[in-house]
Amino acid sequence: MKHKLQNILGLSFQLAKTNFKLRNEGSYLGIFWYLLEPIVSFAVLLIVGGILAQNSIPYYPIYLFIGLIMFNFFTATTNYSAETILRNGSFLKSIKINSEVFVISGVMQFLFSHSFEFLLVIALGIFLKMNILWFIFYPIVLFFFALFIIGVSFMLSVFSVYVVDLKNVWAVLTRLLWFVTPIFYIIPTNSFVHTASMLNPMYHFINIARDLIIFHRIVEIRTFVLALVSSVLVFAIGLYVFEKNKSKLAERL
Amino acid sequence: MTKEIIKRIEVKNLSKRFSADCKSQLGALSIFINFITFKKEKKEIIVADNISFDVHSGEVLGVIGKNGSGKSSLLRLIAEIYRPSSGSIKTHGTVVYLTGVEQGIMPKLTMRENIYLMGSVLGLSQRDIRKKFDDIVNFSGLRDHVDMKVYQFSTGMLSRLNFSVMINCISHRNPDILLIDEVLSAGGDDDFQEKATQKMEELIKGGAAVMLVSHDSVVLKRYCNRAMLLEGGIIKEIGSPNDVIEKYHRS
Repeated sequence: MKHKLQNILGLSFQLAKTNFKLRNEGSYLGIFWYLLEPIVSFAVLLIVGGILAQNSIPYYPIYLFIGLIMFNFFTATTNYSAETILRNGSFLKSIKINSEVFVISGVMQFLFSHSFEFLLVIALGIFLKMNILWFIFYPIVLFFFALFIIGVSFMLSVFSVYVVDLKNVWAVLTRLLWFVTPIFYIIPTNSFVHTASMLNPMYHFINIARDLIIFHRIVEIRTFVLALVSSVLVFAIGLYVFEKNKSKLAERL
Repeated sequence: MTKEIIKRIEVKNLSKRFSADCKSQLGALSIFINFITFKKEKKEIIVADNISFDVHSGEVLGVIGKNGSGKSSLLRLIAEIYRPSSGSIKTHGTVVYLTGVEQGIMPKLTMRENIYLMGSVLGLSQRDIRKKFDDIVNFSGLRDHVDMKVYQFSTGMLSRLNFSVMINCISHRNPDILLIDEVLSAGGDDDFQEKATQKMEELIKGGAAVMLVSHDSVVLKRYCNRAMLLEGGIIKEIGSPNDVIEKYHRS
């Protein structure tokens, strides 16, 4: 069992490294091209939300950037996972392989790029003369956030085999989620939207990270524990769904 | 030292059905509509129907049949890539499934990176691949191209690379059961073909239980002790290769 886990993680890492390299293929600018997209959306939203709307959030650039990259991590990974089994069909049909590897390597791959983006956040923090010390707690949040994403990815990769156009549906859903998650704005506390947001897991993860990094505090302990427990739960459900169905995947490709 | 003959593959009353729905019925909308109207349209394809046979160690069983008669599916079932609908398959020992399809070569990577990637997908550790690396490169005869990107390779070079990696990684694992799906016809020039055939021969005659799918009656007659004719998922004939091949050509 332990050996198997080691195997899966080792191979996932190997694949993730390869794919990451492939995506930033060939040039030293590779990573830069990848980072360009979040930087541009950051710049645009900073102008729109920070300067034009004149909001009162302290360290607004950091507030925005954290929300942006965390949400990006979620969307990019899950959208990738919605195709991952189909993409690796030829492997699955010709080798008996632990198919978890493909999903996990997908998540790892985006975890790499997320880490680069987070380095940018740190750089921005230094530039704004923030207290950098609090950034070191982020990996804890990230760990549970990644668990949550892996869980969702497992489920999506299974469904994608049964529903061929799942990736289109999911792309629309994540876009919708983007707008209801307070990435570049703040939700007024006493509104209906605020209550509804309690059901949005992205809202909680992003909030926890922001509270830690910007306000140096942990959100209400109840919310915090709930978020962590639910991420473990989503991971467990995802894994369960995947394990139940993985032997049928090769046949449906 | 005499090698004991062990029953490596036991297949009993194996049946496999695929539900065949067309792609357009798999869309989110049509699934939803089918769900709320309780509509169920299911067609089934039978690829194995109540099949039973055994393969012992040291034995080479040839499998022949028309396209779509269930040859590859049978091998995939034994390799545990597919699950049987009913019946049972018992295998004793490590199973290796070999296809001629170029599995997972990434065109944008160099040959070196491809070897590492394929090796790890085939279940070798980094250290083992490092040890095997020279063997693989020497066997392929592509030493000058190790750091070239694979998309610039010719088709023949690709199949050389693919075959070299497969064969070396597989012999490393000492398979007890070998499932070969049309590999012997791998491309490449005469030189390489000869080397490849020799290597395959070594592997086949190494004492593993072998199942060999091929359309080439020369190959089948040369290697097999027994042969099996499949038609629509049913064993039409099983017995000496000559008889079975003759029957296949007559049908």
